[in-house]
Amino acid sequence: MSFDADCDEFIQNKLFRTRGKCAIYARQSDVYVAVKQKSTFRAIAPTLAMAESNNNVINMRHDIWFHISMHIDPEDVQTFALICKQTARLVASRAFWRNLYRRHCTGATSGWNLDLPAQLQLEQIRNCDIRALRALVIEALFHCHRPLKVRLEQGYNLDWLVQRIFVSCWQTQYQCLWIMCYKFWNRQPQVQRESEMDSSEVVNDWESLAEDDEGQLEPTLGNPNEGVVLLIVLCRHFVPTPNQLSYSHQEARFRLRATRELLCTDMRAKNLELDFSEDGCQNVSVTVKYARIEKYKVLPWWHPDFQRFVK
Amino acid sequence: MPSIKLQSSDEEIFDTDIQIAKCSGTIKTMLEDCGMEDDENAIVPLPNVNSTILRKVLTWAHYHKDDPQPTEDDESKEKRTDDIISWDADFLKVDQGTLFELILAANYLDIKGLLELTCKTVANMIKGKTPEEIRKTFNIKKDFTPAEEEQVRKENEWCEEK
Repeated sequence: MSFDADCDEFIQNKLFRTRGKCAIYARQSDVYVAVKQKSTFRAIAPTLAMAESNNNVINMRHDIWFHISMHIDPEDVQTFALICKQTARLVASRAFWRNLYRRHCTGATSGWNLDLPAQLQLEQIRNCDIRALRALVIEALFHCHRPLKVRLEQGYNLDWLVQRIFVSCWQTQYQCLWIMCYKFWNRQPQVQRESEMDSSEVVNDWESLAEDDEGQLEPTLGNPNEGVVLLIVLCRHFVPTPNQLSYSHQEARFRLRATRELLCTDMRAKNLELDFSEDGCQNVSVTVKYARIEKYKVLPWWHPDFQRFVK
Repeated sequence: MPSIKLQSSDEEIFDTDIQIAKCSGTIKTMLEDCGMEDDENAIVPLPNVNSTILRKVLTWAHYHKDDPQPTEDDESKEKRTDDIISWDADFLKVDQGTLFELILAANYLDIKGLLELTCKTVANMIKGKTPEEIRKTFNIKKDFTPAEEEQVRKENEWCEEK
């Protein structure tokens, strides 16, 4: 009997004895028999082309996430992006934002939507880059998508500002009122600039560049005001900015640690207090007190009134 | 009524009413372009869909055979995720693996109604859950570093409700 015939007979015996429960890998020189691992993934389908299962963890195919991403409501975008890197990358894609705009902001006739200002109409945003597109679509959604419009109508409270980095402060006078504007950021301004500088560096080794890209999520900031929140305080008395808070954007190091809205003793007005401290220092180092304020308003960068006040 | 034969990836043959099969843009194009409509013995191979999924797809197509075809205007309309009829909801009471395969099959076969339905169903499963709960539901590994997670959270803070 030849060697090949021996192998065949051995394989046939193995198959018969194990009733097909073995995966058999035969070579001319030797034969390996490996016991098949029974998958413990409960939601297994007859074929697993859509996902790769590894230690009970599913790596879902990109195209499945892509189709799902096209049906995500605007208010669920953050949750979707935070599932995994694949979903985060989809949320950073042009297709995702174009789809959101098309579903929620396109007008009934010839693309014009009367709920939107001119700069947010389809024609204006059609050719802008992904970063600008993303910011403009977000602004447009706050004009068109009912659940987001409701949030604007209800207004944002002071808690939204806590732990943000104080960037700058300015005042203007309007008739008998002082309008005090505070600018806060949700990240260090210099960190953003560094990452922008990195991306513009000349790279000689393209292979290493590709490797770098694979693991990291690209920041998707396009609008220079993205991440900015303004606090607008209206009051009758001028309150000077404390010296510690008079710094340039690059030096931003104070965070807003707490806010207090206190009723005046005559119960006819409110006082507003803002506590700031330096990064890494939990003790309050600066408190700004506004007595008898008329009104305050928190304006994140997507708010329609934001551009009226920002500097 | 004329019928055609559809062959799944595992080589099972499905004798199907031609009108039902034509709800798939892919099959419709194949039949028209290859002139297979009049040939009852012609077999349409569908190498990307297995028999289990193809059976489900045909069940769905049979139930929805009289639905109007979605127009381009319909596609640009705001897509609601809470308008799934009860038959469809029952139809999609399947394990996650099957649900995801149905998404791929609907895309491959170009059946807009089914693709929309399956994606809406998953979008609804995501609604109201935290990312951690979603990962648990779909058995997905968290692959963010804390810094990356924080970056994504901040970039999308506009949809946070506070």
